[in-house]
Amino acid sequence: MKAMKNVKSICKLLLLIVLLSYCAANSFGQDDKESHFETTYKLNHDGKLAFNIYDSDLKVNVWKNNEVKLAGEIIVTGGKTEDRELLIAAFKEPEVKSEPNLLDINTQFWKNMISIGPFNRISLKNGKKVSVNKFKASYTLWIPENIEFELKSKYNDVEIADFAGIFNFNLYDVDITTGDFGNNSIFNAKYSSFIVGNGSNASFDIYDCKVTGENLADVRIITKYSTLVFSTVKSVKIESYDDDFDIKNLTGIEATAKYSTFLLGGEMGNSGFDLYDSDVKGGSYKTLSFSAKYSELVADKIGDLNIDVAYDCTFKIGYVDNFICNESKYDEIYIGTAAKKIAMPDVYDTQLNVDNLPNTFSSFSGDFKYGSVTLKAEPGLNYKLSCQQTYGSLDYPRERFTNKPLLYIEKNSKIEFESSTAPDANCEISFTAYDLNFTIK
Amino acid sequence: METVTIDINNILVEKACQGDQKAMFRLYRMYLPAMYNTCIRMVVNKNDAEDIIQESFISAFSGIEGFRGEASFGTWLKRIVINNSINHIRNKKIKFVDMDTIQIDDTDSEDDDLPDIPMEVIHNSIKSLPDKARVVLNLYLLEGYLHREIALILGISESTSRSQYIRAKKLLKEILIREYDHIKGESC
Amino acid sequence: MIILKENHVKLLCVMKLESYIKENRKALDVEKPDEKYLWKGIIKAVGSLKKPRRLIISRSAAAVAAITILAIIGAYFIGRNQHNNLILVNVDSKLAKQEVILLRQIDDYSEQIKKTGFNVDQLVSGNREVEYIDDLIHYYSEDLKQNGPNPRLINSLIDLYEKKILVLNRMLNEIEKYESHEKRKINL
Repeated sequence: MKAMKNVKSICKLLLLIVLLSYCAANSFGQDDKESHFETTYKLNHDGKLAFNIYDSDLKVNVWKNNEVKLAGEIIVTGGKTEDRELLIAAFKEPEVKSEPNLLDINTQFWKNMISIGPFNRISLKNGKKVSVNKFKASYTLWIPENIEFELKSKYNDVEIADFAGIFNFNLYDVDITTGDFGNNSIFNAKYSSFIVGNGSNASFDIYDCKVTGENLADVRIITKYSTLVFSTVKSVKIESYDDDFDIKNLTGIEATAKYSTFLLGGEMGNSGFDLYDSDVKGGSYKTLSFSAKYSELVADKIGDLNIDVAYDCTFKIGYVDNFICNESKYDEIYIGTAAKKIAMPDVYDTQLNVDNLPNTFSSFSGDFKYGSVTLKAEPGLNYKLSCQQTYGSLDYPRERFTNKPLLYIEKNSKIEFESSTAPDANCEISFTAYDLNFTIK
Repeated sequence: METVTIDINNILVEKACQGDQKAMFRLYRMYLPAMYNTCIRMVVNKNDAEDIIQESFISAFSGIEGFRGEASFGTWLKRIVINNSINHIRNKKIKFVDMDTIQIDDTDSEDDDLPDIPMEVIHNSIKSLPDKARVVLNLYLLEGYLHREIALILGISESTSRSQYIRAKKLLKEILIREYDHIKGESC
Repeated sequence: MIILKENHVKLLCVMKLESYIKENRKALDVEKPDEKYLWKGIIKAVGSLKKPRRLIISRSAAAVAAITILAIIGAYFIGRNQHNNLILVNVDSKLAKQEVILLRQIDDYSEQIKKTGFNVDQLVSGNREVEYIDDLIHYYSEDLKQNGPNPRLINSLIDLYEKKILVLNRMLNEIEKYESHEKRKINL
């Protein structure tokens, strides 16, 4: 009994000693150590600043001076005093290459970092190794307003004021907010978010990013898995995979896209889409070239719509002048008004509905297999209707046809029809079909 | 030679049981067209059909651990869709009245012979049938239920189910013949 | 003058209504639902049904979990021998477990694609997309090795695995669509 009590006491004592030792070991440098520095470098107003930053926040101000000022702040937690001093010293000495027209600053002062439990073992670029609990660095830059600013940044937040020069960004996992920026800026980024102001011409090469921008001119975008929202873009050329676009005002677009959605506004000039499983909604087009599978196009007004190939697509168009579709399969096409012409030389199992053929309508032609066509002609539109079809149905307003219609069924259930609503009818509605339900009202 | 397609389904169902949303989506895409059309032929209204389909898939995916695999996943899902459709119709208080007193002639006639009519026309014609006739026709002719099963589900007698079906068939033929008359071409 | 020859009506395909509908049952599914809209509602409801789990880990449970993870990792090294590096194994045990599950799913989809024997370079989402994702995974893993973990880096790595699964699933869907298109062409 007594022996047991002794053992218990010894165990308690040993535990206490271990705990005290642990606390003692961790008591070195538990207070945060803060340090700052500030340096200035010369750079011509039309020079280039290349700035490399890793896992540290950055704020960029713009001024008229032909100088770059760099200020840094670091907070170090834990570790021996001499390790902290070595770390801070390395932090205060970024790698700099300075020439009149080129300034290259690399703020990453370590070669590698190994994390084991609460300790970081850091190999500094000067060859020394230090151990601290953690450190947090941040930087502020002042840069001339017209230079080229090349930024390589990872895992941080960046803020940049209005800037008249050129951006050249290479970003990984950065949340970046900029004001206005200069012509021909380049944004190369992955897993980042951008809030940008007004710019001119720009190019984006992005991967899983969120971009919100104001007004831009000619823009080139290569993108995957991203969301892009712009107020106004003059013209845009897009290669896209699984993206969402929202451009409120656009005057021209050329896009190749897969699994993407486009929400567009504005009156566009000559535009084109090559799509797979993508949706395009909104806007008006002067001329539009379109080729797509498993996609949807919704537009208010299109002057000339030229579809090369449509496969299992849905079209909802308020108004079109000329609708030309070279190949259509399994599509659903709804047109509010077709003002001039519809030509569909190769159609398979497509449903076509046209709500209004006005007096200006001049020609409907096509070769249809299966599917259905429904046309509503204005009372003032006089037309000549001629068709050859096998099986299917032909529904027309008999009371409008003053000429005696010619209809006969030959062998193999062919229907051949030719007649007109008036002798001088200029509009020609003519087609061949197999098992098509054709209705004209 | 029989084409075996259940392997992919089983893999997808297994993954869906584990909460794999991609597998659920693939199952959804595979079965949606058939389920939706079954439902809309029963309830007609597009919004109602969409609600029912959503409820049915949610029930199926939520309770997929309980799917024992005795029938195929599609069969199990179809039962959920039909049950939900019928519940919806019941909630609209459509009474399936016994029709024992109404005599409906079901002798075969030349009217049974119909020309080849597009399936879209048949589908829409079925939708245009009166409620009770439509439900019974869907369950018997399209979903393979027996009249005694329909009677149990709808709370009517077996003979009423038969009568409703005969009536549905006659009405459907009339509608289809009217459609056909469009291309017959009465003389101007 | 419209002339309809009586005997030509009979030349049109003539069948009894019931048999005709039964024989063309699948073709009756003519309506196309709004797939995306319906799925949004379904996945929202299914996702919210998932109950949060609370794990109370006792010492023995932690040991069991650790042994299980080691066994899973061991099975991967011994059985599959396809993955040289589990990137997150030195970062966090939960992340490592998640990585193993994601990698298993990637392997399953890759196997399914291989079994189809399809030339994947023909696909919209082809091997190039998968290779690009692999390059990014390698890039981030090198960063992790060199500079240690940080939350953004880890999130991006997990996201890349999930993207790879998405793309492989799309490839399977595209193969199905392609084969269905070819069948339709043959039936023309």
